[in-house]
Amino acid sequence: MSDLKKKLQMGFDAPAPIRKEEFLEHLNISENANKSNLEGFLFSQIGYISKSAWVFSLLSLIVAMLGIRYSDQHMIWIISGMTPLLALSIATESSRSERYGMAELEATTKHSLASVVLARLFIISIADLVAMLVITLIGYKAIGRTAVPTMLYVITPFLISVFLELYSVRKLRGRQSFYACIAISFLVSLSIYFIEFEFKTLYKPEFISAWVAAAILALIGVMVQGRKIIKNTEEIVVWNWL
Amino acid sequence: MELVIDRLSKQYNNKIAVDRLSLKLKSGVVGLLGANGAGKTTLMRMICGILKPTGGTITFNGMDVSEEMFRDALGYLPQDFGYYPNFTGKEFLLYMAALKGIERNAARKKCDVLLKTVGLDHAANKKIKTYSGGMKQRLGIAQAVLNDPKILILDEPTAGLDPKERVRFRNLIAELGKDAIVILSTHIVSDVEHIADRILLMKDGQFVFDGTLDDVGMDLEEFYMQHFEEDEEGEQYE
Repeated sequence: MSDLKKKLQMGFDAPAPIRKEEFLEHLNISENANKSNLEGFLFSQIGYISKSAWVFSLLSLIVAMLGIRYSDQHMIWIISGMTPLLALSIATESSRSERYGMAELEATTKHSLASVVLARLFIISIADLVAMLVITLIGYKAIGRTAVPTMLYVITPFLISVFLELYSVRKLRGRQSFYACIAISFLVSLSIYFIEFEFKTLYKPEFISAWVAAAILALIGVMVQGRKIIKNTEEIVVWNWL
Repeated sequence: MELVIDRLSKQYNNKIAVDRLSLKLKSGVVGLLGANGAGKTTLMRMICGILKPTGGTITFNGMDVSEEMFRDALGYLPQDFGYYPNFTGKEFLLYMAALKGIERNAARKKCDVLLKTVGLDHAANKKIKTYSGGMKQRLGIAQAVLNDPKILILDEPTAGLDPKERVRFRNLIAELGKDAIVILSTHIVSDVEHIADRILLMKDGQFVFDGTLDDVGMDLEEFYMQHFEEDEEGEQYE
């Protein structure tokens, strides 16, 4: 049979291609064929997160580390009170597109506004979580506690700030939300310092269950607000009535 | 290549911004004319998939405009757009190219070509905040065509352009219209007159005219003004 095929090939010329351009267009083979994938897009977004967000996170980490280095074991509240400032970068990055009038343009691209916001939140969250892990691992020995309670003292004020700031980003527009986020971070920090300074009870072992409850509630709040923010960006592009 | 709009509506509380529009568009330049508040921007935002209609459907080659594949084929220049403050012109284009899923090396080449095409190659490395209004508009046009769009939506694209820039822009759009659907929304009649293959006149959310320049049968500006004179006469008797 293969001999017959070969003889047929030799005996007849293949017809010239017709409507080649149309077919290639249909396959969508173009200069952009070598398109970036999701990981590439995520990686590319690292470079577009504002430098001030990185600087702020780094400063917060340095101050927390100095607090660990030069404070005594009772001054856990210095570390605990610094983490709300880490939360600023999450809230401000999530609203950056709208603040600078880029939201409409970004909403119409392949990797749309929802993807941009999600990517930024993901990157900043990972960076902040790493920072808090470093603080916890270095701090817990210095302050004479175990790792788990230290992690709670570090992450709970952070989560409370993120929750409140994401809520304000949804409700306020433009520069208003930016200033509100700054106010919230400082307010949560100052509240921790004030409560501990006045009552000296916040970090006692008997209150650990309260910290656990606060962390869980704050985490749920963050997830709900985060989902609503993404839904806000998607609402203008995804229709569910079809 | 076909864009199909079927009984499209958009209502805000008591105001109907777009009123049951139906349309089929193939490749070519479509000029969308209308006064402020006619519903042009609302219509364009719905076509781009960034505004949810109250009713009706929009599909492009059978795919819904909410899909990622549609955005992959879309180029959009909004009426007003911002920019991140520290971006240079080139950085802005590279950023938009990343969002449009264009691979980095290809994006660099494309950006260089486009910056030259829109006459911004000399200002590519300057911050956008130093650009004039016309330069920003040209940058906006460049980002809209980065991904060789099959459907190009331009909302008041010639605002801020001087006459020479406007002529250059018209030539670019006429060229793009050969292989893509270009919808050009404006209230500058001469822009439409020179390049549009099809003219849509919009008033109070509805199309009051759909045809070619030949179908108009008179000076387009006069024809356009006629529709608003009728409106003003009606208002006198109210």
